[in-house]
Amino acid sequence: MLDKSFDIANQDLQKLIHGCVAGDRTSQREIYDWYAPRMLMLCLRYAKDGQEAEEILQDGFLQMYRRIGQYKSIGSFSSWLRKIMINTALMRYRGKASRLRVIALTPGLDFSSSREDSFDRLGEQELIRLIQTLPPAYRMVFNLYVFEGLKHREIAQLLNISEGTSKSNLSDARAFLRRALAGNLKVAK
Amino acid sequence: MPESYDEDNIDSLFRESLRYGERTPVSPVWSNIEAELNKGRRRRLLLWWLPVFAAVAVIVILKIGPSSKGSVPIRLQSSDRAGNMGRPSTPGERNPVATQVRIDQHMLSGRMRHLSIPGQYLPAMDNSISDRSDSYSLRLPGLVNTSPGDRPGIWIGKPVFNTRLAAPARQGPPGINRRHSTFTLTAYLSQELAAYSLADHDSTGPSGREIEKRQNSSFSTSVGLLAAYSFAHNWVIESGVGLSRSLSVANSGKAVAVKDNTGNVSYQVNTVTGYGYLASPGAANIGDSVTTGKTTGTLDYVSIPFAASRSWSKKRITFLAGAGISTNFLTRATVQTSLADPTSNNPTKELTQYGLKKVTFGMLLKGELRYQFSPSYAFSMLATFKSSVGPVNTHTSYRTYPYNLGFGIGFTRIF
Repeated sequence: MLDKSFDIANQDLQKLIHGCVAGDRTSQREIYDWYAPRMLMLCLRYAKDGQEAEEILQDGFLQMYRRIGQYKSIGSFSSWLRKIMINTALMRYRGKASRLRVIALTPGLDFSSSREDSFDRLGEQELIRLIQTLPPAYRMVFNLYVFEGLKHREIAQLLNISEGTSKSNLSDARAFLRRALAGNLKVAK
Repeated sequence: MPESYDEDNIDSLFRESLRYGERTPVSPVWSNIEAELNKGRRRRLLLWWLPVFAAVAVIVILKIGPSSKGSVPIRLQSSDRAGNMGRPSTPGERNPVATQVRIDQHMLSGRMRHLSIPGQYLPAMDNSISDRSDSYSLRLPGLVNTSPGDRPGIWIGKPVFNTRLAAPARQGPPGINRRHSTFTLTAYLSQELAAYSLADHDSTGPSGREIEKRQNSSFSTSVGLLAAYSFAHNWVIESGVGLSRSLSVANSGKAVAVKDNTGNVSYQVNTVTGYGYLASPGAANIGDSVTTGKTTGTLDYVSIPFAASRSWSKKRITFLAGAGISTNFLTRATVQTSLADPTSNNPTKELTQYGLKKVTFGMLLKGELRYQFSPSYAFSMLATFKSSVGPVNTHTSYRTYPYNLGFGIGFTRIF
């Protein structure tokens, strides 16, 4: 949910978009430099680790350059790009979903040292790592619900699951995170 | 602590902490993206030239490859005036009179190196066969018919023979060019009636169906040079280069002020294919509108067609019907318009037209009627139908698929 101030100034953006449509590499690079750091943050939440996040980022930007001619200046560019990134992550997830096994929440990553004040001490890096530790099905639902503000009905359609499963996955994801934050759970790496 | 965090707290903890973060990629993501984009560019480049490569490859292969053998129906004009008026042949019967056979060169295609007549034995052949003479002259001491009347029209001693000659090496189909007709060059000029099929995905927008309603007329003109090679009996492949200019005229309409590509507020003037930015004569705000006068969109393309045609011939007239594809490169796109202000005389301005693809692909159907008025030259009348296989525009709220029907004339040099 990026606000419009995150976008490049409109007139510069229009120039860059026209440049991208014409295949101008400099314009493409400028758009990448501007948006990649924020988009990587988004991708990190949908991926299991940094490497996968950067792969999603790369695929997402390629998709964006190929479709930039379809961008209409109705919404902000960053919102449009964000949707592409999320779709790229979801496509990747759907492709893998059939191969994923149910991951048991078994001990592995030790948060026991965090103990009492884990919430206060947890930084951005740790929170991302926690999300990445979630099983993919939980991670997708958690991201779509918490960060994108989608309803369970919409999430169910996107992930091709039932609404009940979406609710259940969200509930399990929250419980998992809560326990992990409390340091009472060792989670699988 | 942790136990006190309910669902909302968990959600907001993650949402607020991670919403605005930034992270720099560790791996060379941009380099990878650039490499992929370059790959796509190379693929597109290859796609543009693929028809040309294919045409050249086929021509080269056919030129250096083994020659095809076929048979060409010709008419043998005998100089036998000995009075052996036509009568059915009988097995083993020999023509008692040496027969001088003349084969008009325009009846043949390709170089004639030998002559054979199915069912006939040619005991000797005159060596006076010449590539460059207007006619081949053969002295056939005597034709022997080895089978009785199995080929209707084979007669001994009859002044006119209807038979088939074995096609000499590298011989082209007779229908294309009767004289050494493997290769031709045709210069053409064509006038086309153009039309557009519109797919509008934003009928409520300022650039929605209003352009379809305003569309008045469209036409285009093409000139070009086509090289044709006959690769099989009665089959020809063609490729070359064409230049076309198409004009689409729209009636007076509304133009809405938007931010243009330079960041200034200008009026976006739509054509059926793209749009131009008309500078506002005074201060204008986004969303303001003006009425424009007649608007003409002009598109110039360089086209590279690749087609295969079948030919049918009779005497000097050949009809070719073919189909193919063309790759079109946009070289220039403009919009000519003016503000429709009855109180002042606004000059027409020429604007750059945006929102168009640089390269488009099309399919083409063609028919050609060719009259060979000399061994080396022919005159053609052409009819073509061309249709874009995809939209010619991008970055617009509508998709335009042009097609046109053209009629033209051509002048052919036969090699």
